[in-house]
Amino acid sequence: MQKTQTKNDTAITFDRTVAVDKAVQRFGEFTAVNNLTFDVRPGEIFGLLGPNGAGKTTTINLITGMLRPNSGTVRVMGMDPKSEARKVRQRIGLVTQDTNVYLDLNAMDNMWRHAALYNDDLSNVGNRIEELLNLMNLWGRHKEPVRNFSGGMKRRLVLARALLHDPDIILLDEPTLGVDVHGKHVLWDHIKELKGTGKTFIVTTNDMLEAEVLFERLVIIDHGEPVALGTPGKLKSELGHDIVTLRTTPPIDNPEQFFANNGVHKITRPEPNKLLLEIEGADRKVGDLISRITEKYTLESIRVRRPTLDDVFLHHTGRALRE
Amino acid sequence: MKRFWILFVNEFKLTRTAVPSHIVAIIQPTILYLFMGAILGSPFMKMNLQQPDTPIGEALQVALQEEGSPIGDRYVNLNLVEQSQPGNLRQVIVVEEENGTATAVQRYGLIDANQVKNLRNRLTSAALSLWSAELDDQAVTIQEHPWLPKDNPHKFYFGMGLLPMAMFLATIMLGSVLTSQDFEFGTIQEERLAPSNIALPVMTRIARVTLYAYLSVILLLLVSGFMTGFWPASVWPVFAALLPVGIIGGGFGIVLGLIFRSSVTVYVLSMGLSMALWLFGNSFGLTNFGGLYAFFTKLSPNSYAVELIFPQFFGRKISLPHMPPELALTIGVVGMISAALLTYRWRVRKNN
Repeated sequence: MQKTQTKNDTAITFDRTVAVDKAVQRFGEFTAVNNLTFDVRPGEIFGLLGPNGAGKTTTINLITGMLRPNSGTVRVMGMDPKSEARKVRQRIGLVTQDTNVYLDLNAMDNMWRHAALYNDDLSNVGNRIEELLNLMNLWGRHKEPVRNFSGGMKRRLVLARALLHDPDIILLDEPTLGVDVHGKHVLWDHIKELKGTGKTFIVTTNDMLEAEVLFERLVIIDHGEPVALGTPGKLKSELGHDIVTLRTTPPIDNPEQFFANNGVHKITRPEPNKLLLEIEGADRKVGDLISRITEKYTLESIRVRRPTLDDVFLHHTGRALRE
Repeated sequence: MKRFWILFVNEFKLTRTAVPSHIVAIIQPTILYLFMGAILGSPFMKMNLQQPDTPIGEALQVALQEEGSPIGDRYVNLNLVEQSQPGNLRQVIVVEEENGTATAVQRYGLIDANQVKNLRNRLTSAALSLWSAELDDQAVTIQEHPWLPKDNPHKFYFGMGLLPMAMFLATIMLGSVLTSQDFEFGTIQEERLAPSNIALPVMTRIARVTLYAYLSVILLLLVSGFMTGFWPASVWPVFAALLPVGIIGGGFGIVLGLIFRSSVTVYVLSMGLSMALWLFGNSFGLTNFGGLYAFFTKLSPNSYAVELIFPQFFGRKISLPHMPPELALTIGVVGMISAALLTYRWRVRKNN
């Protein structure tokens, strides 16, 4: 349980850093978020996973108070982010999808500007800036124009800036968008390191690898609606099946009938000649499968693997995360 | 105060994001001043007079040669021609006798009405002095009392009127370009969630662009001073009179930037608005363009600033037929700061 002070100084206790309950957000006829419910525990890295347009950024805007839900409630550390906007915003740091820094200024100048706008106490800001730029491995280049930075360095600068006013909750909206593989790993390491300081992270992504590496718990969102909630391990184990991916020539006409006796739980066809079969204990059955297929078709490839979050998404929505 | 100071210093560093606009803001009024000085016609006009052969004709010749301002500069560049050829000359004067009366006949070629007016005025003035002398000062007495100890060079007399324009142009242009760039760079996102008071970013930007605009004012003051020899009695009242114009321009610029969010669009708009408020801002001093112009003059902060700085240059006041300039500028400052704050709240912090 943690405590926070409301504007009338009444202490409210909470055990959820963020609590979203049946939130609905409409823009005209379009429903961006529909009946979304989840909560975030203090000190965890929580993920919002979904394809582009799923409603992830809208959810972030609900948490920051930029939007007020048409129905349902959102609470941040026990407070309403709209009516207690100032207090809530002092407790959150936001890293938006865009790298919104002044490219012609150096890292220090960008940080100082943020401090003037966000920090309550300006007495020790210089040291805090140095500490954060050191933490993000940017101190050696802190006087260079940000224009000279790589994509990953810019994202680290934005993260350092979001931490400058020492927020309890850091919202990262697709933090590694446009960052190269090495840069992604560096940023993930920093986030994990910061988690150790007690910060709570809420991260949106449509990158399955990022979700696997980073998230402790996540909600999968599709068309604004939550389709699954839990830890990555739990969600994958709930699927309970292995995934067999196979390609044949010609395509198998009626796969449900063809694999009726092979213990296949679910079949999806992402491409005409490609099938994904969910099978329990696939490694024991793959020999029989190959024999059966090659009786009538040319088997071009076959692969057996454990389910991923992409498979979880596919299972719940009938389509791949990247579609 | 420390917060304001940090952001204020940071605002100056944003110069790096819009270097061309900052250069234009400083030098454009001075370039306009020099350009207009170069293209404006000289008041020293060439006037043709057919070689006189009568005493009154010769007297008119002398009178024309002496025609000038009450304190020195000649106005007529007299050119004696053998024979009047109105088809080839823009203007020619022939002194004739009609019914026993000496008459100066002025003929014109293809020239515009303003030129006709100027040529006629000079002839009238010269002839009037003759007429007055002949009548032994009994019919017409002319007294002239110039305000200034010397002539203000015609080509550059409007330098003072450009000072408010220099202040307004720099503040509206930089205020609007920097604000719209915040949208183009995405850096406005940082301000959307900031828990600080909305007055902080708005007022620091107004203060910064206003202070910067004084560079443009100082440059113009120096150039016009060296060109004309006219300097203000004291620069501080001039700077003080321009301060509200800067605040109004800065606030106006922020409003433009927040609404249009495109630096190219606001650059063009701020340039056009500066010119319009300059033209309608009583910047031509004593010129009178009539009722509609007078009406629009009341809407321009430049008019009131000109009214305040005029005595610093010319030692006396001009009184415009509207409210006291201090009151008008105060209303403008309060109104424009309010407009900037409200627009900022609408465009940036509407969800607070």
